[in-house]
Amino acid sequence: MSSGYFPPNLLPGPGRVLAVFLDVALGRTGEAGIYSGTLATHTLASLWRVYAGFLVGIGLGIFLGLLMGLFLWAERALNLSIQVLRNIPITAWRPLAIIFFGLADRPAIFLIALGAFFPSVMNTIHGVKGTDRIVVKAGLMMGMNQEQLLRLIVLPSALPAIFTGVRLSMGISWMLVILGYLLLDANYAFRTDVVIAMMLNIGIAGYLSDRLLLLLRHSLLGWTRGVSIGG
Amino acid sequence: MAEITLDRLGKLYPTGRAATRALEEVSLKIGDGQFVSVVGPSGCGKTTLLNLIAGFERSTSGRVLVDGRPVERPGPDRGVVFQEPGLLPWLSTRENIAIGMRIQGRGKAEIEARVTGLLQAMGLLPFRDCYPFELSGGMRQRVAIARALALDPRVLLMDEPFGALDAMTREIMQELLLRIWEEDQKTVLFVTHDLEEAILLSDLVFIMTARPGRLKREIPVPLPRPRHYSMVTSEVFVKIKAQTLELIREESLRAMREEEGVEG
Ligand SMILES: Nc1ncnc2c1ncn2[C@@H]1O[C@H](COP(=O)(O)OP(=O)(O)OP(=O)(O)O)[C@@H](O)[C@H]1O
Ligand SMILES: [Mg+2]
Repeated sequence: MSSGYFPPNLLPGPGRVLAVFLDVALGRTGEAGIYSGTLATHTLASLWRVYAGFLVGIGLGIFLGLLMGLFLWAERALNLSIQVLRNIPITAWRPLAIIFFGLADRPAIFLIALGAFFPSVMNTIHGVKGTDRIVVKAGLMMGMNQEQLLRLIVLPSALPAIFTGVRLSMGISWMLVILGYLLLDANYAFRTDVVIAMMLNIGIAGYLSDRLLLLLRHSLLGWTRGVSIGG
Repeated sequence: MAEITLDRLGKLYPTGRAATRALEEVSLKIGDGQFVSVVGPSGCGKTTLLNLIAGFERSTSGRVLVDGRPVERPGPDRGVVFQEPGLLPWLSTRENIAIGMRIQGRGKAEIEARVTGLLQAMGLLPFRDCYPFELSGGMRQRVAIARALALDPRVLLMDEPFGALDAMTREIMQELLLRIWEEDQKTVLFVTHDLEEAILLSDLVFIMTARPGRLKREIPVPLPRPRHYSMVTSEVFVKIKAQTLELIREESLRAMREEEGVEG
């Protein structure tokens, strides 16, 4: 079943990966060695890291994005830092994350939050600034105050863009959790089959998370059917 | 109950090195319940004028008075219909019409009754639960008019509201607007570049000069009410149209010459 070019312990075939995946999930055959039956624990641990980091990242991103989209002073104060920081690969923060937060979950959550932050903040700014001026004028004509303008006009009109950002953030969060695994656990280096099984697991979890977001989007943003293409 | 007075109104936009003089020394009076139109070459400040009366912008000189009080901010006493519909895309037809009254804190029953009445008058009843993207351009503009009327404003400001519609739909919309206006005589200021439209609808047509926009001429339209589309062939209409056309041509030519001058 292995692809003839590589020895099976370096590049296991799909059958082997499936068998290992099942053992990691169910712990029946022991083919995954010390990882046998660890899927639930692993998945729960990743879910916790991903969602904690994701929520912190998008929370901060949306909040600062709204501020920067609405107020020139906020944009002036933050824009340069964000534009510089967002070019740094998230993985480059790993040593600093460990210095700041020690080991275990907290540095991983920090890295995921950081990765989730940038798409959310950029897209929120874009969404707020894209608010149709005429629609804002219409709100003013109706006598809306600042709070009503924000809640009834700016937020809903920025929501599709915010959602796009949040979706990208979700993808990045799962990508970072994979990196976390591969880098943290040296044992993986000798078990390519387990690594691929874990990649598969995380890929599926990430996909399901995205479907969840799309479901939420669909119920919240039905009106964009005629405005956006696909998605 | 709503008189509009513009007192030597001026508006400068600080653009680049030299400021744009959009409006200069515009003084005019619109009587209560009058239907007036503003025509003039492109870029002469018609939208600016409307924005100043609506309160979206502040003048750089002179004053806007509505019923003797200076305009300081937009408000539901001055309904605006924009050149584009500007509907809230996430609200249905019904909700788009109702939202203004909600902001005003009107009661549920009153909102319901008024929205239904407007849906009926505008022929939008079958589309009450559609979102804007599901409507045609003409329907959207009708929702925009209904939305402004829902506020029961004393003044209605309309910026080329039918500009994007085809001739047939436009004609229907004009008649609809006239019927509504005849029923509860609001003070209407109607911006258009369609001279026939201006004459057919209005008591008074204001012709503006090329930029900086000033008042060039004020032409009363002595056609009887109720107006009807067939009047466009009447002698009075034809005479007024010829007279206004000449004035507009002068200004449009002047505007184009000036633009060339600026570029050269
Ligand atoms: N916000 C703005 N900032 C700077 N200049 C502006 C602004 N709004 C309008 N102007 C300028 O003021 C002048 C008048 O513009 P306005 O939109 O009022 O013209 P208009 O008569 O409505 O033209 P049109 O018939 O093409 O709609 C134009 O020269 C325009 O460039
Ligand atoms: Mg205009």
